[in-house]
Amino acid sequence: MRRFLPLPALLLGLAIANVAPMAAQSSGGLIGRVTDASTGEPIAGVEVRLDSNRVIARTDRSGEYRFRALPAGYHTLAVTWPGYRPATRDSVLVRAGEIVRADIRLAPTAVQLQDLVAVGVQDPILDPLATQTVQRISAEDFRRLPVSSLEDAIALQAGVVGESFRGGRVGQQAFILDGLGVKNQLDASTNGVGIRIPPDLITEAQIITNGYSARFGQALSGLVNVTTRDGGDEWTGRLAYETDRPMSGTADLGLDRLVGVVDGPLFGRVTAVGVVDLSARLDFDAVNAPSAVDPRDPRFETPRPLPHNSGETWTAAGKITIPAGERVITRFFGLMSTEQQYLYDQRFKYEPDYGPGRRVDGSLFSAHLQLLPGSGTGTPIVGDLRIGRFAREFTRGAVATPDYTFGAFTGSRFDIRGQDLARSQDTTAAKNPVPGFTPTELTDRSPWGVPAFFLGGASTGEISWNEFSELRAQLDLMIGLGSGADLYVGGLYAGQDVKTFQRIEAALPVGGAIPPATASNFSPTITGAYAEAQARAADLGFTIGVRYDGFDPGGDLNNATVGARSTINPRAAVSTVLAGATVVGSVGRFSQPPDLQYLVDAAFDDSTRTGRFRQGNPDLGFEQGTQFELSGRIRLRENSNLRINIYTKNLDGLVATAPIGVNPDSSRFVNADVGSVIGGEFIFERERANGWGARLAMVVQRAEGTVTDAFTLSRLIRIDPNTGDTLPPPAKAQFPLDFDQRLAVIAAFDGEIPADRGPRILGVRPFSELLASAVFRYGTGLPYSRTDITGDSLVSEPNGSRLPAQWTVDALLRRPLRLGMFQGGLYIDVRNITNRRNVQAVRRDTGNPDPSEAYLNTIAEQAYQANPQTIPFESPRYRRFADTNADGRIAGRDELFPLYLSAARDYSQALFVYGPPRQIRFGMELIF
Amino acid sequence: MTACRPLAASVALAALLVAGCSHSDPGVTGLDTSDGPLDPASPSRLTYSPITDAWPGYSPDGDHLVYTFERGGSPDRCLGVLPGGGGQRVAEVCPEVRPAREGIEHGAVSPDGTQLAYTLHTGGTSDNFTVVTAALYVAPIDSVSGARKIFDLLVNPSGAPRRWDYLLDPVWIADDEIAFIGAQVSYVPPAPFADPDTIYTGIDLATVRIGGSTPVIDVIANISNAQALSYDPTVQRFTYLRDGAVYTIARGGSEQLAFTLPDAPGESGRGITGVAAGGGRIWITWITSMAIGTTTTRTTSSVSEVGAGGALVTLASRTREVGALGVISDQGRWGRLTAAGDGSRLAVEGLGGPTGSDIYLISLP
Repeated sequence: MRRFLPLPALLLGLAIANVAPMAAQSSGGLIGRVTDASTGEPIAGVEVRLDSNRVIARTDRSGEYRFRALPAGYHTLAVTWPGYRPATRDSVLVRAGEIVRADIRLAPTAVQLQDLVAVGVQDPILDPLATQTVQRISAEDFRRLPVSSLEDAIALQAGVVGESFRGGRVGQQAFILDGLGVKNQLDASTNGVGIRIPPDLITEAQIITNGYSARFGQALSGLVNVTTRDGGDEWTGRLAYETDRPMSGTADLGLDRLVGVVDGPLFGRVTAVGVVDLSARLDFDAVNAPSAVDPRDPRFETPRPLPHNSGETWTAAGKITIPAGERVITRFFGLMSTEQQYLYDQRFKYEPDYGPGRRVDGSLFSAHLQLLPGSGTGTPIVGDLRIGRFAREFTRGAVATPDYTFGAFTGSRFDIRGQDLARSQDTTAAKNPVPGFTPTELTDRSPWGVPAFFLGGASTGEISWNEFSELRAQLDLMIGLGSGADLYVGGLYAGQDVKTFQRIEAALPVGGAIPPATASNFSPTITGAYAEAQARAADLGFTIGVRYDGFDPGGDLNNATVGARSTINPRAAVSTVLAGATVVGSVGRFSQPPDLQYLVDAAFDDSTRTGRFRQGNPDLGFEQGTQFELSGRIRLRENSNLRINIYTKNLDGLVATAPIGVNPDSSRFVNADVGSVIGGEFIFERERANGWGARLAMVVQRAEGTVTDAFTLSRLIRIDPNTGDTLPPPAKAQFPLDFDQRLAVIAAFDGEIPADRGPRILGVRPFSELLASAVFRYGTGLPYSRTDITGDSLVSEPNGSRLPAQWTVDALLRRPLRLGMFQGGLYIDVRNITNRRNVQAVRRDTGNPDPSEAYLNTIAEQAYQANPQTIPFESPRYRRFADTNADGRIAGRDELFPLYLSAARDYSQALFVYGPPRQIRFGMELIF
Repeated sequence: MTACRPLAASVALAALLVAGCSHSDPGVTGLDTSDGPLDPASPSRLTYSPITDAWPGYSPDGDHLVYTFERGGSPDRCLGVLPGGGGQRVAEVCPEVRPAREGIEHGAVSPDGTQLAYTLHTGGTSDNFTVVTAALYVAPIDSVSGARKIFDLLVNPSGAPRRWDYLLDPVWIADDEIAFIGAQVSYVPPAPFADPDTIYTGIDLATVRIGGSTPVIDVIANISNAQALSYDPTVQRFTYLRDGAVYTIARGGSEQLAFTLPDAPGESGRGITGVAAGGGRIWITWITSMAIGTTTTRTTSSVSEVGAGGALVTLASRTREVGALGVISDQGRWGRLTAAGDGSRLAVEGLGGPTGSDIYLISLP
């Protein structure tokens, strides 16, 4: 069934649509009025130059000038005009999605008045046109807070739990980079976007969680909007190295990170910026698990680092900015990142070279052509044409740990077994045992020797690969409608390519218990169009928009030809100022296409609590959500403000797996689940002034939803095996969603000692300019479901139990240093400073991280019964300590079973249910 | 310029961190494994499996000792490789699927200790194993998945004078050359209505060179009834047992009688059961029987070195006494021998008795 809107309807929709906030963009606006300082009269025709003449605007008859679509960040404003003294201002901060006002009073040269300028900036807290709930991460935050990545910084924002925004599922957010939408549409619910933005490239990042602009789609719960910086007018650079090498023992997680960034003018007005960010850690996914209880377990004395658990990320990015004339700017951006990681697998604890590994390669190349408005008095129009190609390749399989070249850096790409077969997608060849693979064996290298639990000799034979690429074209127009209104219109078209391949037990031929390899190759398309208007009348602001989203899976999938589908999503906001506070009410309808992985057959776990083998459903429709929010912002004092957001969100059509008939092993993806979130956010900020700032955010929230799980939990929704129709449950009972964190508190403080303060020791003030910051995070426990010992049957309501609360304290100390033309600094960054052992998961049968003794005895008994044979002295499985009668044989239950029990306890010890341990990193940087 | 000092110090610190501080090494600590025999007293028992351990064979340098062991369920035979002085297996080759339809036997470790030669027999069910195919293979000692077939048995290999049903006692005589006894197999019922015994009859002493793209077989001698082949690199001669006597032969030379047991008065019987050579020395296992009184027969099995002039220096002995009412005592007997090429080590099968079939290390004087 084709669901595309007919073109006339689309055009009509665009025609009747109005307004949209500038918010959620990578750029902001700068407006102001140039007046004669002596008379107060406006000066018309004055050239206002920005950033060394890179952009020039001219005042109109009322003295007003306007720069639209400026990259967020600091800009230099300069005005020269005959008869007046030149005026400049170095650091005008333009924030994405906001219009900053800078009025300029020019002093006549014949008049002895104070030099120039009074610059007034629109207060972003009280600006009634800022209708979005935006939390900002500035470049300064990256320097002053204990964060080292964009992900770290996002985690400090209210409403963010891991990769969940406001209680939604993972993958319900979209990523915007310099105005270009980037989303891993293939498997966003289970994997990240695949590219890493070096913090040194970021001017500002925003987390937007309410009725964001109709300009953006492919998201239900939020946006991550990142603006990268342009190159400057002078060559500058930064080199940094951080490590935990001075630590020893378990405190040494094997970290090394190298960062280099340089930017400056290439020629003329063309500038460039380039960043290389390389990091590696021997314990990439470090956990604060207790030591093993058995002295023979290698984790008894050395709980960290885990073997085969290292990882590295390589990122290189660059940007070239080419102004052409006064009205056209072209930007070329490129970013490539690779993250490869050895994955610790308890089964391969004693033969880690057969453990799995994964690699994610991501790249983004884009071109941005920006047309700025002319200096005339006509209707100002800003046009942005963006074309970008985003690609992401994921590979997982067995990979042997190589010799490291430096720290945890390998210096090469992982050679993941079977990756060439996967890329060829040759399912016919994959029917046979794949060359190079052999069946696994129960290893003889554990301290217990017995053939149980621990594998070795070969990998499990898993080959998992997918590739997602997208070529996206996006046109955005901003049309000024006088001084009080703006109109935004635009659209996008994205052609995507999806390829997947999966094979398990590659050492064995397909057949019997070995399922065939799965592969898919299809080319979906995504279309979008929007119109949005923003208007202001006195203290009242309106934002009204509508967005059209289309999605076509493309081609035949699972032997079914399906058509395109579409949605219309209106969004609106109204804001005003009441008693000194800005109050905003917003409502929006949002939609996102389902993960493309759900369109094809699949067999892996994901956050929707499903697993095993599932039938793809090419006819899946959009997942949708509606959010209402009422927010208030008030400035308590000059440098402090309070924001309160009350919101409710209804989710509908979420992808779930429903059993076909009554067979749980035959299931299908359907748009079956619904959910709701209600919550409040309270954010107090003491903006940085006089060397210090603070922020306190508290979130109270309840997130619930239906739970459709074909395999273990609550089979409330089924599919009629005859008609294929979804059979709804008798009642839409809702249970806590996975990221239903009821209370979260985040407090951050940073302060800096002035340069001329602090005790002087031997002619030096060692504490002057010392920067200190601390972040405290607290969150109540997330829900989980209790099951019986088999894990197949619930013993209470879905997500009816709660994990313990978690909290951490992070801290940063930074001391700048100078040497001639060079500046530098030293810093110590400590995460989880109290080494708090946070429990992030538990066993569903016990409610604790550890298994019960009954469970251990059960699996030990099963293992013993499977291999009760005598172990003679010459066998590699022989352990002298277990040969209690010293007859050269470990024989009989009395000698063998204790080994099986120890092996069961070793194998079942909880590791990744704990959060990270204390991490201390020492850093040094050189700025030139 | 006091402010310079911290920066200079920081640069120095960075260099120091990288150069002087290494990260902790993630990995698995050592296991509680044993090196050397459980009991070093000679003869030192090397294997304790309750099932059969047999066919010991030293590598030329004596660093590895390969033997055949069973996991239970004939013909589920594997090869194990022990350190030359005993300890726990450093490598093993077993049939991949159980119940096995394969038998892996007659192992030999190459001079450099990196390769393993063996025969692989495939047949019907494990309950009724009839050899269908058989071949000589060579594989890396640590990865039999890289095995390559050298030539098939049960057919007439290229360069061979006749069909060999079986291949006995392979031994590496160079990095790329393996010597063996090509044998025929017959199945002879020991008595009417009894299951037939498998009789191996050596017919050819041959070598195969495996360095080229195709194997080259070289028949050194046509020797009927030969068994227990060993090669002494010190004197570059093959030693074997034939018709109750020990013979040696050099490539291109003729067979020479090396040793035969003299008659001994009072004994009811005696015979050589195994032979090995290395370092210019020869050892044998042999057995004697004599009556003790009127109703008891004592059988003594010995491991002895053949000394100058044929004098025997006994290194270990086992006895078995059988009376009128049955077995009185049984220490078992000694079976096949193997010696390191330089004569530094000697291992022997211990058969029967209370411990079954196991491998022992004999201390040499």
